[in-house]
Parts: sequence; structure tokens; C-alpha cells
Amino acid sequence: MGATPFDFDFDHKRDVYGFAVRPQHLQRFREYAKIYKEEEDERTHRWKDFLDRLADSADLPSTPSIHAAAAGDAESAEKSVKEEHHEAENTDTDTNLEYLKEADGNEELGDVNGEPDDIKGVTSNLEKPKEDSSSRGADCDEDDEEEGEAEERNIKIECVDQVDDNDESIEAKGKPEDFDDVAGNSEKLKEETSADYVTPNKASEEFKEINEGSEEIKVINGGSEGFKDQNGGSKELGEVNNDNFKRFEETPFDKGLLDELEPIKVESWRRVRASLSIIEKMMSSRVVKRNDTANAISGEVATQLASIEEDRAVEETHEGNSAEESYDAEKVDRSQDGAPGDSTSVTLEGDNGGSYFPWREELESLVRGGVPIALRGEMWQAFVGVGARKITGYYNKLLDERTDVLDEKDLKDQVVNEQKSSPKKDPKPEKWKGQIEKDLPRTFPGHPALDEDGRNALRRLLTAYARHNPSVGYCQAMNFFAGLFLLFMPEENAFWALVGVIDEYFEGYYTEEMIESQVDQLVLEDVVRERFPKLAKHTDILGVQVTWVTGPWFLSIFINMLPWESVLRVWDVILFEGNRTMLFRTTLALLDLYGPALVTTKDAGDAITLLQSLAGSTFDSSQLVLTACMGFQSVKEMGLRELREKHRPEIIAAMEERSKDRKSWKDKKGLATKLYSFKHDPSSVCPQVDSKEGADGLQVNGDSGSTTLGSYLTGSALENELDEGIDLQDQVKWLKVELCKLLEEKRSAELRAEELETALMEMVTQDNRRTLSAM
Amino acid sequence: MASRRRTLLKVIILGDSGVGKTSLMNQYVNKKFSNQYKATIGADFLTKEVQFEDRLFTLQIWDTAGQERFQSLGVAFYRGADCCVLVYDVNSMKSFDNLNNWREEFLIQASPSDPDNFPFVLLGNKVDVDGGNSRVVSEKKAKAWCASKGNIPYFETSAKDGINVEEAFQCIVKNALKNEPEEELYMPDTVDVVGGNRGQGSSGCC
Repeated sequence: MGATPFDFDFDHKRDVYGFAVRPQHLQRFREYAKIYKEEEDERTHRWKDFLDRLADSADLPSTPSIHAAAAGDAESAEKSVKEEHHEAENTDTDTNLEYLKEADGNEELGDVNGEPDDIKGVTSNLEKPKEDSSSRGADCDEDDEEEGEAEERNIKIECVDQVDDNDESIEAKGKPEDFDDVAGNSEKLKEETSADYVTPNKASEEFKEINEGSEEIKVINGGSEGFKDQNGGSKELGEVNNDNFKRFEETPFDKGLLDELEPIKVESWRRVRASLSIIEKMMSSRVVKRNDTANAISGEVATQLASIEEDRAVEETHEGNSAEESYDAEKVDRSQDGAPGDSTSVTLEGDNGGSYFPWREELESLVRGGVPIALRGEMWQAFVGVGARKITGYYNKLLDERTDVLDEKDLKDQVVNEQKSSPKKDPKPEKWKGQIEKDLPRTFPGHPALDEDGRNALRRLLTAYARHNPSVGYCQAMNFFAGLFLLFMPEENAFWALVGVIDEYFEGYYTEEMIESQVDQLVLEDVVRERFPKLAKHTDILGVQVTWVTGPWFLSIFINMLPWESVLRVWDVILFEGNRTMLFRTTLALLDLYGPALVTTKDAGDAITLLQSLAGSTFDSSQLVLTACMGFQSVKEMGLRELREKHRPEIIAAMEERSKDRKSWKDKKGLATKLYSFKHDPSSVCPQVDSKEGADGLQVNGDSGSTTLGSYLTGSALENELDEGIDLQDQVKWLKVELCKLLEEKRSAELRAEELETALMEMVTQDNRRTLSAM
Repeated sequence: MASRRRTLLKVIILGDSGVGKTSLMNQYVNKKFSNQYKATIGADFLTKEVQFEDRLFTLQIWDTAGQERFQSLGVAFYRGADCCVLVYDVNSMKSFDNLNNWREEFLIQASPSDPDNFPFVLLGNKVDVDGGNSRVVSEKKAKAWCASKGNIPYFETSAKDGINVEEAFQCIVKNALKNEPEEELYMPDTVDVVGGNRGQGSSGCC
């Protein structure tokens, strides 16, 4: 795709996210594109409102929390934007400085690993918004009794630019009506917009220096024009909207989305970030306790992390040249403050975390309504707890491992040679490498962001994960998850998001045995039978197992199975909830929606095809998610867990059974199979077989003879199989040997049969004699 | 005969990741090729109506994920298969070497009543690649393997160019019929077809 990935050679069949729309769905997609846009506008408002209130009521200074999701590569880009911004808005800087003092006082509040007491502090703040707002009012020389008004004024006074920016972002989403509300500001707004428009470019240039392989940044600098054309849906929308919409739209296309989004969003959603950190704190409470393994690797870094982040943010507001030094100094101080006892306290808090966050329910309902595109990357990171998981340097360390052995050339060689020659070279072959290479081009093929650099990032991400968790290594489907995360966040953060999802949400799902995946399908079958007895009966008659279709749904977390808007909506909820309940609920919702059609099918093929195609055209994402969450609210993690416990033994037993089968089958079929796998060196096989046979004599016949042979060959010849082609001559030789052996076996079997026959005859004779004598 | 209730034939496609299982299925069913297929997760499924010997069949084609670990999920849909299509890439020795594994795993998981006579068909795909210059598995070798497995029919295909795909699936249908349960009563001529099918050469049967 090269330097201009957004050229015109694209068909008009890609959605807002850059994903291909299936030709048969184009019509419906167009219909829904309008609805999606309306929904997006609405949810953007709702979220903004919520996040604003959250930021205010928590009385958290907005600045220290900027760290929330900005960690990683985008940071410096963000910083530079911020610097510019602060120059322009001195008043803002002042208030920020004021807040800083507060931030020092409330230091732990901003700490991801904060202790329960501190969390309570937040809670009490939340519970007494009046007090907070008044005290805040005092800080800002603004006392207002009414909370609402205080809020409004706070926004107006402290964050004039933010209001503008927010409006800008609304405008960017193409809702001109909203403009009226801020008609007074609109002139200024335009200036702002254009000013802001420059910053991403600068920021991204800087970013480019830092992170090579970020070609996508070019896109934001020059790609907006061609964009409209690439997008079937957006073309329509584009007519309604102005340039800002285009700008808004193009960002989600890029793999390092945050890198571009950040400079824009940081400004336009600045207050949002304050609330984001609160959300992140809540979400990460369920993360930290899991960090033990990671800690083992990097010592205390993990616990220090949050405070480091915070300090960085603080530093950004200081924005002096000396910031770097003071930052380092502070970092040490803070980390000492923050580190001890953190993980335990958070564990406590995580257990009954819900009660500490009265707004959790509201957030939940917002998540169910969908996360706005612009916020999705950051929210997802907050939900999975990227900030809390992240250990500085870990990702790069994983990638550095054996880089000398595994440079890209090696990787390519490996694919070409298909491990033909390589295993010897590598001391510890990473067997998933070939699979990753195969799947790179098969991950969202044609997606604009997955150009060469995108694929390299994807390769790094998957490689790092495989090394991070060898019990999973690489499993197909992870390529899609990683690819998706890369679209919404910087590479390193995407890694931690992947870690969260695979290691925790889907623990045991993608391992070699895939036990949990199988368990879940049994559980689902139970639930379906209970919920949809009529459908279950019908599928039984047809001989269809619903799990044939739902298995892939679960494994791919609906990626490629539902329209993208629906996929992302489901992901919003899954990542927020932190478990797999939503997989079940969504599946049940789909069966609920399409069950009536399914029961009319006449054969298995029709039923499966129908369900697949109906699922694939579930464009009404809101209906789906709401049906799932509301209609199947009673399907709960606890209940599912019980069912899993119930079914797990079956799966494990079946697995063991199969491995036994496999063994005995191999033994039984040893001869026939090995006959072929035999390559060379038949002489080395024969003596052993012969000697065995000789030693065991007549007792050993057919069966055990081939067993020995089988196990012998399984041990050696099979492994040599890769080495060399099978020569026909060798085969003839081998066949001869086999023939001889078989003849010998036959002879001994005959002898034995004769013996037995003789013995039997004798017995019969004796018996007869006895009978005779008795008579 | 054609008025009889149509018969379902279940066909499973197995083989290493990336050998072209999805492509073959799509070429056969939709007559289309794309080099932009996504990796198959779990399994995918297509149906096609076919006419064979004056009878109408519905072919249920199960396309499976090539990564080995997905085999553990196979037991659910291998069962009841009428024919198993093994696919390898003629440009990849490993994909050929793994055929034994795929075959055995199928027989273990599907546990057909008569494993020794269960119908398989082998496809050597991607013969178009590089004009055949990157080919590493010879036809001779593949046929030898087929011979060693009880005369499995063999086809060299290109899902991309549509070479031999139709023929291969014709043969697959024919072989799937071989496995048809006895209790479904057939006219004698149908039995003839089944009988005549046996002992077909390794170079295909149609």
C-alpha cells in the first residue's frame, strides 16, 4: 500500500473503521450508516455529559489524570500539543497550577493503585458533590451554591478552550444543530479548530521521530481528501458534514489511532480525561491483583507505574524546561510513597469495588449504549486496565529476546522453508512463528491501516504475546484481536490490552487444548436448551448443533461474524464487564432474534446457513446489545461459572479419551501408517524388529509385533519425515521388508492357530470320551 | 428418482493452515477466488446443491481452521461426515507431511463405523503458484501416499484458477455416496454406482 495508503484504488466498500463491507450487505449498511451516525451523536453527548459530571463531582483536577491512557508512544506528541496549548491559554495554565496544589494534596486519588481509604475519599466526594463543588468554587474564586451552575461555570471559566473543543468535537461528528447552543462561540471555535488542526501534524512529526514505522501519520497530514471516497457510508454522511467530519472520521482508520487521536482528543476531551482516570481506576482495581507474574519480571515497576504516569502528567502542566529533572526526582519520591502495600489494598477494594463507585451503573448503561468512536480507544484501555497492567520496558524486552536469531529475514525464510531446515538452527524453535506469518496477510485483508508497517506492528504484538504467555503462544483469532486493538491504541498499549483479554477474560480459551472454549460451548448448549426449548427441539430434529455456529462466534468474539458496528458494541461491553458473560448474552440475543426464522428451516444446511447469514447482517447493533443486556440479564457470570464447573470434567475426560484413542489408533494403525512414513534406513529397523520377534518367540504375534514397530517408528521415523522426500525405491525396499515380516507373522499365527486347534481337538476328544464313559 | 427427497452429504475439508481450504470451497460453491481471505476461526460452512446420477444432493461443506489446536474442537462437527477432503499445498512439504496426522485425527474424532473404508479425497492445491516452479511435492509422491491409504482419489487443483475444482468435488460427491447408510433404500442402479466406484485409480474417479 506504500506511502499513500488512502489512494483511490479502494472500492467504496469500507466502513468508518476501514473494514470491508460485504457486497451483499452494502444496501443495508448504507441504510444503517445514517442511524449509526445519529446514535454516535447522541452517545457523544451523553458521554460528554457523564464524564464532565464525573470530573466535577470527583473534584479531581483534570490535569494529573491526563496520564490515564496517554501512556506510551503518544505521550510526547501529546505533550507538545499541550505545550502549545498552554502558551495560548495562559489562564488555563494558572488554574491548572492551582489544581496542582490540590493534586499534591490528593495525590493518592490520582494513583491507580490507590489505597481503599483514598478510594473512599473519592466516593465521599462523589456522594457530596455540593461540598465539592463549593470548595472547588472557592478555588476558582467562584462560589455557587447550585451544583449544576457551578459545573457550568467551571466549564466556562476554567476551561473556555475545552468548551470550544468539545463543541468542535461535536461538530466534528457532524451535528450542526448543536452549534446553536454555542452560537456565541462559534467564531472563536473556528479559529480553534484550525489552530488545533495544525497540532496533530506537528505532534505526529515528533512522534515519527520517536517511533519509526509510524507511516500512518502521513495519513492524517494529507489523507483527508481521498478519504471520503473510500468510504461507502461516509460518502453519504460526508454530504451532510463539513471537513471536520472527515477529520473525525479518518482517525479511526489508523492503527496507531491514539497517536493521531491524542493530539486532537487531548484538547477536545481534556476534562474527559479527568473522568477517564477515575474510570480507569475503578476498572484497574480488578487488574492489579493479577500483576504478580508481571511483577516477578520487572520488580516493583508495576506498582510504581501509576504514580509515574501521574507525575508525567503533572510535569506536562508544569511544562518548564526543567521539568525533566524534577520529574525524575518526583518519580522516585512518589513511587516510594505509592508502592508499598498497593496491590493488597487494591485487591480488597476490587472485591467489593462496585459499592465504591455509585456512578458505575450509569457508566454501565452508557457502555451498553456504545462508546463513542473517539473515546473507544481510551475507554477500552481503561476497561482492560492497560495502565495498571503496563510494565515499562516489558514489551520491548520481549521483543528484544533473541532478536539476533530472529530477525525478519529469518522469519521470512522460515515461512518459505516451512521449517524444513530451520529447527536445528534455532535452539528453542518458536513454533507459532510460521502461523503468525501466515495469518498476517489474513488479518483484515485490505484494511488501510494494515499496510506493511501495520503488519510489522501486528507481528511484533503477536510475537511479544506468544513469548509472554507460552502456554497460549499464538492461536488464530488472536490476530484479529491484536489487529483490532492496534486500530484503537498505540502498539504497546495494544499489547497490554491483548494480555488482559487473553490472560484473564479468556483464560484457558486459546491454549493448546482450548478446554475453556469447549466448556463454554457445552454451557451454552445448556442455556439454549433452557431458554429456547422449541428451537432446541427443532435443531435436534434437524441434527444440528447450535454450537457448530456459535463455537466460531465465541472464538472470534464475533469478529467477522457480525457487522462491525455490532462487533464493537459487543466488545465495549465485554471489555467493560471483564468476563465472557456478554458472549452468552449476545448469542442468546441472536437466537432470540432469529429463532423464529430458524424453526422454519427444513434441513441442517439451511438452518446453519440461515443463522450465519442472519447474524452477519445484524446491523441493528443497539437492538442486539440491548436485547443481550436487558433480555438476558438473568444470565450471570456466577451461574455460568457453576455450569462451567459442571461441564469441565466431561471435556477433560473426553480429551483424555481421545488421546488414548490416538495412542491406540497409532499402535493399531502403526504398520499401515508407518509403512508410508518410512523413508530410509530400513536395515536399522529390521534388525530390531527381528530381534524382538525372535526373543519373544511364538507368544508374540501380529499385534505386539507391530506395536513395537509402531512405537519405534513414531519415535524416529516420523520426526525424520520432514527431512526428505520419499523415494519410491526406498518404499519398495520397505514394502519387501514389511511383506517378509507379515509373512513371518502369518506363519507364526498359523502355527499358533494349529496349536490351538490341536489343543481344542484334544479337549473335545477328552470331553467326548468323558461323555461316552459317563453314558 | 430425482423426485426423491434430496439427500444431504456432509463433507469436511481438512488440512494445514493456509493450504487453501477456504479458497477451494469458495471456488467450488461461489465460483470466486479472492486472495483476501481471512483466517478461518473454528469452522465455516457452505452448502451447494448438486446433481449426480439423476439425483439431487445438498452438499454441506465444512471448512475448518488449519491450526492444529483447533482439532480439539473438531469432534463436534466431524461426526456424521460422509467424506473427508484432505488438502495440502504442493509448495509446502510440511503440509503434505501432516496429512497423516489430519487423516488419523479425523478418523479418531469422527469415529466412522468402518474407518478402513471411509472415503477420503486428497487435493494438492496451489499448482498455479510460480508456474509450478516452487513445487516441492511431486505428483508421484502424492499418489504413492494415496495408494498407501487404500487408493484415495487424488486431484491437483488450483483454487485460484479453478483448475480441477469442479472435478474434484464431483468425485467427492461420488465418494460421499459410498458411505451412504445402507438402510436408506436405493434402486439397484444406485448401488451399481457405489459399487463401481470402488477400486478407482488414484488419479481421480470422474
